[in-house]
Amino acid sequence: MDIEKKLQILGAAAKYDVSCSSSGSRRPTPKGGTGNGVSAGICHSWADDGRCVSLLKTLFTNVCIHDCAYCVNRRSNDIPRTAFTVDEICELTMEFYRRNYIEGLFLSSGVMRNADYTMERLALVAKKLREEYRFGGYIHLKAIPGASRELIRQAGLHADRISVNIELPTEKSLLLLTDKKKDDIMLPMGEISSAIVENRDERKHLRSAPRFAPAGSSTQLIVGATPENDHQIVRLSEGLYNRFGLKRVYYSAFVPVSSDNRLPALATPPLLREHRLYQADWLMRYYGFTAGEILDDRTPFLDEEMDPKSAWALRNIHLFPIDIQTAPYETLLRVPGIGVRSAQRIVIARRHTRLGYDDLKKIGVVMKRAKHFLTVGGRTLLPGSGRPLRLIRRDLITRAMLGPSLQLNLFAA
Amino acid sequence: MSAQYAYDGSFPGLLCALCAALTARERPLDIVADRELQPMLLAPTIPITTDEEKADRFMGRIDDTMGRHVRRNLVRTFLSDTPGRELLIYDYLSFIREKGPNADGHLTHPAVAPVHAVARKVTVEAHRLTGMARFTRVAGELLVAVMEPRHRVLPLIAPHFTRRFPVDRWVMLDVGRGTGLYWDMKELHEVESGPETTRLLNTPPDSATGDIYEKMWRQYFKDIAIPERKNPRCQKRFMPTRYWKYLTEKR
Repeated sequence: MDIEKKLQILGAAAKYDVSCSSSGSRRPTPKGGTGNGVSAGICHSWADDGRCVSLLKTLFTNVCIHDCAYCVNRRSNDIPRTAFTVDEICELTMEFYRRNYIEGLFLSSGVMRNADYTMERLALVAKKLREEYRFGGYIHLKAIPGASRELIRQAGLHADRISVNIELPTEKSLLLLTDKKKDDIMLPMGEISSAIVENRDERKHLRSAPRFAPAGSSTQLIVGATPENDHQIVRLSEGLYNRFGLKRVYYSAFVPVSSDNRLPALATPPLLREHRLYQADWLMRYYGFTAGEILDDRTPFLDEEMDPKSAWALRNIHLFPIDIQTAPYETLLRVPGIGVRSAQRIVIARRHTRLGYDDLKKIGVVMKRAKHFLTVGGRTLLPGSGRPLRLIRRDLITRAMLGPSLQLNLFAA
Repeated sequence: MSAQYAYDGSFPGLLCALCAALTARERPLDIVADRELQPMLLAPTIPITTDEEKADRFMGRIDDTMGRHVRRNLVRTFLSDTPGRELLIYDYLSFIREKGPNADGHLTHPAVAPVHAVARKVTVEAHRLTGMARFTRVAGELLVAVMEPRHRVLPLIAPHFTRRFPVDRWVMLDVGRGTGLYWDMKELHEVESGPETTRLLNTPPDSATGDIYEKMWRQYFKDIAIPERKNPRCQKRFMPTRYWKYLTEKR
């Protein structure tokens, strides 16, 4: 099979992996070589589904010994199978890179023969790109579930990021839909996370020690294929951030790729739910929220009508209003309508002046939402005070406004 | 009586004009490039002679007394083609000179906010184009990237590409302005869109030899979208259609 045909099959087969980030690595261009890492990451294009394209995302092979019900590459699926050679992937990466189509390579794979055999191929691609092609661009490798510690350690020496997909949020779902065990996934993830920590430590003492996955690790959860609620998912993510030090958890609305009766029959992928989960994830990573503040046993699902911060603020209306001039940064971040950028700008600008309604608008605060939660110089921004929750709620609802094609791009960088 | 200053349109020229205007301690009526100059009935026009050394010294004073963030905003505002940008810069510098280097944080002040807004637009476009510039292979192993940016971002993005592709020969062209930068694997050279570059441009990317990687990229770009999630609105928000003309995958 020629390389064009292979890319058609293996590129398309990788599209359900939503990770795309190319950030977190500041790799210098190798002497006499090509490519570097830019720590903020760079998006190169946006596909027709609105997702950013940063890396050449492809499978090494779509041959697979597993038969996971949700996966398009499952053994029992009748599709054409193929595999790249190591050199083919290297050439493709270099040629795409030199035309500035991509930031680098994201290489995943079906499991060919066994986990170690496959992992070895992926590690070899990274090694060859670095050593023979003198490539300094971004490389993200998938760790194959069940692969040995040594191979994962080797792979991480050449990759910027190495990650394992959890896919299903509970072991029960894993056992129902796959022939994998929890340990197949959690052991490599643990190995990656301890290698990253050890490496950071080692480099403190010895600057010349080789880097291990300098851009860290991430994972992906499929949403809507199994019965877990949002509370379980958000708690799992929080645990992954805290215990494994992951950089990102990606959420992937389940797109039915088979009519297996173990899977729900969905008319469309649950995109709104996925979107709300990303917002909740943002709250945990950038806004100082804990999973327990976002959801609890009594509210197991995120509100579809409004963003999770607005929902939290409504439940905790007794904490408001806060004063724009004096509230600490952490408190500003909790106001609906104020994002990270506007909170930072408020903190800078208020040193110079007393901020009023128009100033906040200029700074980029969404006043429709924020006005209910703020006072300016001790005075409320609203005529009359103590507005009923019903009216506040009306201003917080975003669903109607965004319409059915809602999908903000939260994958970027 | 307040005057208008006329400079040659170059960056050092603008610095000399700013220096003169700030020294005069009277807000100029306008600072304009010669090519945009319209004589005013009642105001004198002061022609500015560009003096590179003087410009360097002035820039150094800005770095020392106002900070590098001010230089950055100044440069980026200049690179935007926003009408009236010279006077925006004058007001900004004169405000910071009066209030001190931290005054840059007075984000809502009319002397600061417009400069920040314009500089940010330039920064955003420059960042976008580090991702969306597309190189095409032409004869002689040369890589050519053609673009038509709103702002003059070439000088901002070229250093990124010299770091990234040091061992390739490439040229980036701003065809809207007829300017370009050429990297010969040692340094950058300014080029104009003369007959030679026009010839390069007219070499169709899918000429007789054809570039198999361009073809594969286009196919790949189609294949990676999930049809059930089609979202053209989102795609256009991040990748405005005005850039599509030069995108290999959208052309």
